[in-house]
Amino acid sequence: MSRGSRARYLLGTSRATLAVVPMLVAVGYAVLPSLTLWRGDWWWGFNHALQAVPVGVVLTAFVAGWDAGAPGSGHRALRDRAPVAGWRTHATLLLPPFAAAAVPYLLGVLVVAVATVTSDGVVDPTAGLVVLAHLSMFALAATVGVAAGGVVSSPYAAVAATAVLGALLFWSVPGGWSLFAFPGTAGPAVEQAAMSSRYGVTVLGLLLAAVCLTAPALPLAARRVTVAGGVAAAVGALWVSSLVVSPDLYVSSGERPTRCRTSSITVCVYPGYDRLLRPAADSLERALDVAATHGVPRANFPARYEQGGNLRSPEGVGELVVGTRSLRDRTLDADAVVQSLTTPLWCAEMFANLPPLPLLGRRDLVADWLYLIGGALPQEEFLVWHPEQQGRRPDQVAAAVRTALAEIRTCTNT
Amino acid sequence: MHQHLTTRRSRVPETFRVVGFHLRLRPWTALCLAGCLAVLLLSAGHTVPSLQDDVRVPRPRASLPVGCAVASLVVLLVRPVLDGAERLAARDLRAARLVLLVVVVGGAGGAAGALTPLLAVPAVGVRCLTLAGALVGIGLVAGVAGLFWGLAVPWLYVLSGLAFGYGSTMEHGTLTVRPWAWLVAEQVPAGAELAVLAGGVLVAAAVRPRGT
Repeated sequence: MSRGSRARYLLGTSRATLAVVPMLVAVGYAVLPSLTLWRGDWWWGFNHALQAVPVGVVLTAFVAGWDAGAPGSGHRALRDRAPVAGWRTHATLLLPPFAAAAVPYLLGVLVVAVATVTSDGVVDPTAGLVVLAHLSMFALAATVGVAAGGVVSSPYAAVAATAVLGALLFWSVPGGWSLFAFPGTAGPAVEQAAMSSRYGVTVLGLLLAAVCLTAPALPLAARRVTVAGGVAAAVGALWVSSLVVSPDLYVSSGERPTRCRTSSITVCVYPGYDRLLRPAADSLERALDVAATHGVPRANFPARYEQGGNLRSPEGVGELVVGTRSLRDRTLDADAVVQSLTTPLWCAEMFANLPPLPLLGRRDLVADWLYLIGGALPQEEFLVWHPEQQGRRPDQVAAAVRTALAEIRTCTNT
Repeated sequence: MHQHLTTRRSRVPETFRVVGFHLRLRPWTALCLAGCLAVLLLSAGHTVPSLQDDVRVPRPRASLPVGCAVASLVVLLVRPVLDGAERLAARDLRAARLVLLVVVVGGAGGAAGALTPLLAVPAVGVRCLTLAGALVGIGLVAGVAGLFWGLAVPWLYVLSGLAFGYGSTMEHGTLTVRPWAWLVAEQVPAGAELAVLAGGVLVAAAVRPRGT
């Protein structure tokens, strides 16, 4: 069979051509809505685009299993009708399902990168590790499908491959995460995506598993026992790789922002957000000056602000909230400034299942007072939200704000 | 003789014979379905790691992926024994298909349902079964477009529901994050899930299967 006829045969019989449609829909759904709200934030858009990955992983396993197990065009048919080296049969069955997921995925990432650059944003090169991890996931899924097709015929091979991938996808590794590390959807979430040790282990484990699964398929006469041995080796490789890095190391390896600017306060951002440093520091200092003239010295507020605050934020370190258009307009709007000054992300209560209403009540008092002295909230409306301040003098209200800030610092939630 | 075999009296046992054929020719699939239902009941109330590294998104129930596996096995079990033969057959086999679906879905679901009182919290087991039933219904409806879609669509629905499209709302002072996929959310009435199952059974019985 010539190379051209092999390719035509491949495309004519593979279900990968069908799988491209749902994959494109998933990538489009994850990418296109965020483009309409674009703000030049690479990680924000990138994380949204990556939400299509779990769908792609399962779809790849399903299609690869279906193709490899097909009686008329699968593993055995290719072996019997056009005997070539085992690796060529394997690659023939592996590539279309892999490409059906990887090409739309890379297209989505490319669209986000182009949109970031044209919106005057900066693409962070460390994202390459995340992309590599996801391509490894697709490779593993395709390899599992081809291995399943070597053991049983389709449609059973497709269902078996999907079930195996589903089990791996929802396999709990130390720390309670999925083995396949996926970034979140909330905010920039840059610190979650940049945990290089976590993604490094993911890439190594998945690639090792894909190689283990490929090895028994290479000989022409692949027997079920050798395929089962490959599956066992792959699961072992994944299991060991998931144990290599302890949960404590995962947590401590969460990269904190390194680009800092120190004046009377310290502001830190992640790479790609440098041009926000000076405007953010200026905006926060202006707000702190206004607060000091109204009776709340800046010592009551955090002295350090880090972008992408989370559960690991040290005590007393404020979160630098990046607003919707902060990066493009190179300024923090009033909401972002107030949220940065008042949100106590160092408190574990902020991440509990139920919202910490007393703590949030204290935060709201400080936030509304900042809006009040900044002229964004009328006095009458402030008193509607905080009736207990009715009849108090401004210095008494400032004293209440100082008390609230002290309680926020100690995470008082009663 | 032929006319005698196709009289009204002889068609009733023949309808049930179709059920026997499917179960006898696919013993491994039936066994896997029984095992999968056992896993579904044993994992009732358990959760699996979230596909979202976002603290606001609750961990998904284990019954979601296991329910997808149940749906795949049911669709595999009830597909025609001879691909395409039913489309070419002169006889209308809708009654036989309906009986097959009712026996497989009702039998498997009923047997699993009868075991739920043995669980620590029987109501949670029943909810797992109704969720799996709804996914079976989706698989049966999608199966009208072909076996490929009948097997793939429940997985696509659940995976895409868990992966993207979350919306957050404040309800009674509590921030609630809901997925776009209706069945993936926590609070779906059991009656609605059973209605999806019933709809799937009726559609699968009424439309002649397309094969792969």
